[in-house]
Amino acid sequence: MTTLTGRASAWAVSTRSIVYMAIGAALYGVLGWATSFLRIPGPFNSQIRPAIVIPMFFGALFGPWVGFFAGFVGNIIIDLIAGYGFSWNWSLANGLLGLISGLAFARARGEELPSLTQVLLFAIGGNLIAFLLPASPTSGFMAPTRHSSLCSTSA
Amino acid sequence: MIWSARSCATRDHMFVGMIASFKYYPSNSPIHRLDPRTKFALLLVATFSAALLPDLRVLLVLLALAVLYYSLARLPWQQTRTAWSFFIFFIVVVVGFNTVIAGAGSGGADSSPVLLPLPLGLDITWRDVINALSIMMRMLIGAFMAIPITFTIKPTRFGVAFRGMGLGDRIAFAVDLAIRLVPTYGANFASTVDAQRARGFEFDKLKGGIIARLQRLAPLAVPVTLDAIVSGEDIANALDMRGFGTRPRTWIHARRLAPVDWILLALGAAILVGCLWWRVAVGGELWLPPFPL
Repeated sequence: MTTLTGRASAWAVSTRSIVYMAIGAALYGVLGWATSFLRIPGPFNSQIRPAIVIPMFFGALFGPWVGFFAGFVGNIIIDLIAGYGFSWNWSLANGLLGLISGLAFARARGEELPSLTQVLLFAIGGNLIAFLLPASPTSGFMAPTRHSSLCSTSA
Repeated sequence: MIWSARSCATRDHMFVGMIASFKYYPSNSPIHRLDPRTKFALLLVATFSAALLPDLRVLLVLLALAVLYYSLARLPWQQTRTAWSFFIFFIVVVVGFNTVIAGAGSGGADSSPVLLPLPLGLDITWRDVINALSIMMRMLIGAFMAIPITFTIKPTRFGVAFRGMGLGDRIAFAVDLAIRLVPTYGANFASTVDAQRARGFEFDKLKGGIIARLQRLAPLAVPVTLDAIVSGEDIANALDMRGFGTRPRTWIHARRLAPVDWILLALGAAILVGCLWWRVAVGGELWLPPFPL
């Protein structure tokens, strides 16, 4: 059995949650930018972004809201550092990665982690949502998300 | 002219400079002087107004306004080149090309002139081209409004801006704290690189494939992450001892909206309502200009 830092409720937003929201976002911003040299060859400005695990890790450890914030604000920070403008829709997708990871762990109470099956079900569900939402390229201003699992573009 | 939040002691450290420098461009342009809330609101107005209507005539008006807004920010090309190179490639190639191909392959009743006959019923028609232009213009409008956000708002103003837009004190504080922590973690990352180099780790010579490179990043990322998590307890305790969250906060950078902000917000609201009216009264159909040839 592995502990989950003894949190009272996955959805509670305490002072501690606020601090870890900020830490997760800043870490994602710094590590996401620091690994921007891992580019995928080609014209799409794509890169491998291993730091994408930060929002998911923080979501699992500190709750869905912390994961969402770390992904959403962290991607804004990467855009601010890289000078790519402000792409709220892509930041939202990053936030959802942290949120969904947090949801997988939200039901864990006390000392137990969710089973591998539960985690895999959430991972599959999250990927399905990610693939289905931007299905129509002509649906308006929303562009396809740039981040799926480890792979992302740098903006 | 790049604003940097890091300390003078680490200013000469190239690696930290690479990581911890925000791309804020200090200037006194009219757009720089606007309240950050106004800039976010105008971005949302432009995004949703453009998304409401595919009509090229409306989009041309919105694009002209967005270009005027962008030009007032007086941003040099050197600063924005990276952003524009991505946006232009994305808009022209990914969105434009994809939309033309997707439109051609979607079938359906399309009686507009065929511009490029292709096999398998993939003819590219006048309607496909206009539709692609419409989508590209929406993206361009968003780009012209979004890029100044990065370059004209000081990073330290984001927290108070979000507070002013209705977010709670605690969330706005989290945004503020995240921005402040970036240079700290940038410096920690640089220190970790130095420490690992002293142990023989060759950060500058990451060789091998992507997986090999990823594995070799662990000695850098893991210490920085763990240090951040451990230090978080101290920050949380310090905040609790100061009664964080027990009463409304005050913000040192809080400001009132200037008359020009109110005027622009009213203009933005009028544009959004106008686009909504157009959508309801005229319809949200694609306007097809007569084929010129």
